Amino acid sequence: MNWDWTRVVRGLALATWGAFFAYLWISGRATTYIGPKTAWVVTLGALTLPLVAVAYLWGARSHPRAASAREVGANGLLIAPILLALMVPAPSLGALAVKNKRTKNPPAPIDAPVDGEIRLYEIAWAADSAKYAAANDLATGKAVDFVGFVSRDKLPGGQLELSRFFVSCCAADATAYSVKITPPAGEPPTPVDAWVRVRGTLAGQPGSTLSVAATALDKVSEPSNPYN
Amino acid sequence: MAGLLINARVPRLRVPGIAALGAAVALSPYVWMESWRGLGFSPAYVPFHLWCWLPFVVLAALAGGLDRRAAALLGAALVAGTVAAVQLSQTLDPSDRALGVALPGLLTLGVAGTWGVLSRRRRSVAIGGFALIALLIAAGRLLQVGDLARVQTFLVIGTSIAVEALPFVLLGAAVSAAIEVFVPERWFAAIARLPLPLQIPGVALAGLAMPVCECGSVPVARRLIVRGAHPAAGIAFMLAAPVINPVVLFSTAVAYRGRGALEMVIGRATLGLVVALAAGTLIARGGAGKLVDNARAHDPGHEHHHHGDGRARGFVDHLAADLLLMGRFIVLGAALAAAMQTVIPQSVFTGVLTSPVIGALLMIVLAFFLSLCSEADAFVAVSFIQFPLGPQLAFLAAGPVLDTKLALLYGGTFGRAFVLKLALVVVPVVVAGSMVFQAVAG
Repeated sequence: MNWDWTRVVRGLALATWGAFFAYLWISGRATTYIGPKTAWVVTLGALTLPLVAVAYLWGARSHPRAASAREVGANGLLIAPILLALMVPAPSLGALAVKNKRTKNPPAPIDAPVDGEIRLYEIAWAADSAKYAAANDLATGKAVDFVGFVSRDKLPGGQLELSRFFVSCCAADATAYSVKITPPAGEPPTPVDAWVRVRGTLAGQPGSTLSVAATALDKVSEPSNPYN
Repeated sequence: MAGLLINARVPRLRVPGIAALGAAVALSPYVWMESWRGLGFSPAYVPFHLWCWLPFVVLAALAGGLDRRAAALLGAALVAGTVAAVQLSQTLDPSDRALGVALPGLLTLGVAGTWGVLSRRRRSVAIGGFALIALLIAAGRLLQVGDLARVQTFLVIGTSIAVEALPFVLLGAAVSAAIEVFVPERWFAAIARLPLPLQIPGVALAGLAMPVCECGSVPVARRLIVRGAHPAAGIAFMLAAPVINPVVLFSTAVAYRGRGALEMVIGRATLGLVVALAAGTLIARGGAGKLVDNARAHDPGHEHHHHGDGRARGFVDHLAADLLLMGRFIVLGAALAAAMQTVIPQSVFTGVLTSPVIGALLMIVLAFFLSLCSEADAFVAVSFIQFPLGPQLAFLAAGPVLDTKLALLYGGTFGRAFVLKLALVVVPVVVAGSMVFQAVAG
């Protein structure tokens, strides 16, 4: 057989990445890795990488050449992340990442008004800035209904901390926003990293001690887009 | 095919011996396990018996390619593994049961993998490699490594950096390949004839028209150097493009809206250009020839000759070669950056209150470890509210030219010495620039 094996190995590595991009694009799992603003890179990769792989493999029937062990190793390294991703069915950022990425409360976007429903982010911003809270009518007694995951349990006073990440480009730049919740009395403990839907009202002082007094805390599955 | 692999040196008894041993072990629980003894034999159990027997059959078939000691060790491992499989499959815990039922399959993959890796024949090594990879994936799933928070965080961050960067590398590689294949030689001759004081800023400013972030600018810069642009100009382009391109400046403006966006955008573009020009000039003065040699030596284009196949083939070859070379460094860098983010909390860097100089240095170190895309880093920089604007600018100016993934990428493209020299120029210039910015705008 007159196969250029070096080319075959390289082409297969490209094809594997192409397949991974196509999988991320079609299954919608790209939301785990990429923020909404740069989702187009996944589409671009899914459409172009397989083409490049096919075009590159096209020339593999010409000049016989063996593939060195180094070549195999280097291309093995290239596709190692995909093998790891196959090993872990549905990874996501959780409480550990909140802990590692915590700096201080990221600042509230003062001149960005609430657009539509109130999410965890808006409550976190109102807890950060009284000015933001006043401009958006987020005061004690306001009814809220939002989704987040438990990043800390067993806080003083039986409170929970709920968080969500905000991603600009990819998960590496994820910023955590956190809100404190007072669960309804008699509520069984909620484990760390569980996603919950909270219904309740705002309590405490915007800009300093704002928290949510929950009337209902229900476990839900992870939202399809965990970053917005 | 398996029969052909058994060569004449193998003692005749080995094959039936291993198969018989396997049958005995697979059926032995009827003797030593109380529950099996009590229930007795049923035809419904035959598939499980055969499944437990499978790894021994595979070992028997492949034993010809193994020396005696390896075969004996594998045989002993199979006996122990099969006993464990039977016991696990009888437990009540569902994940243990699943592991027990899957174990004979894992053992089979392990036998095939060991045989392949020990053999010298290329095809066997390939088969063995695939078997071991499959074993690794299956074992990882069964042992639920994904349930560990550290594994998940590492995987999400590492994969996300690679997924984000690769399409940009692809774009950069496409531009680089187009330059190689479609731009005539005389254009580069014209650029090379320009006096250096004009050539360096001229090529660097071309970055304005290249909306690629840092991963894409490396292959383009290398191509420029290989085709005759002065190394100083190529380096200046590579360092300037990810900072001064319109997409990056726009995202900086959005992130700093209401917090001095104009000052930050101007500061970032200016400091980015200064860093690029200074680094390009100084590094090229100290060893331009070597830089060119390195860029050429790592140029995958040299392995391929066009063979008269036409320009399309040349374009695809150059594109794929660049993509594969840079892709490896991206993957390695992404893994390193993800490991840092998984193990070291950011508060280690940002928790201490410091002077502006130390603050700027801390921000440079943090930017190095985080390895963010230059189109996104402003959104992170703005969240370091405990630092004044000067150190935040240091984060924005240093990150796109010097971070974990780029260090590997540069090292693979221009040689390791280049990375060190670059750091020696970038760090002082960025710190000085951030101090000036703090004094003017802060």
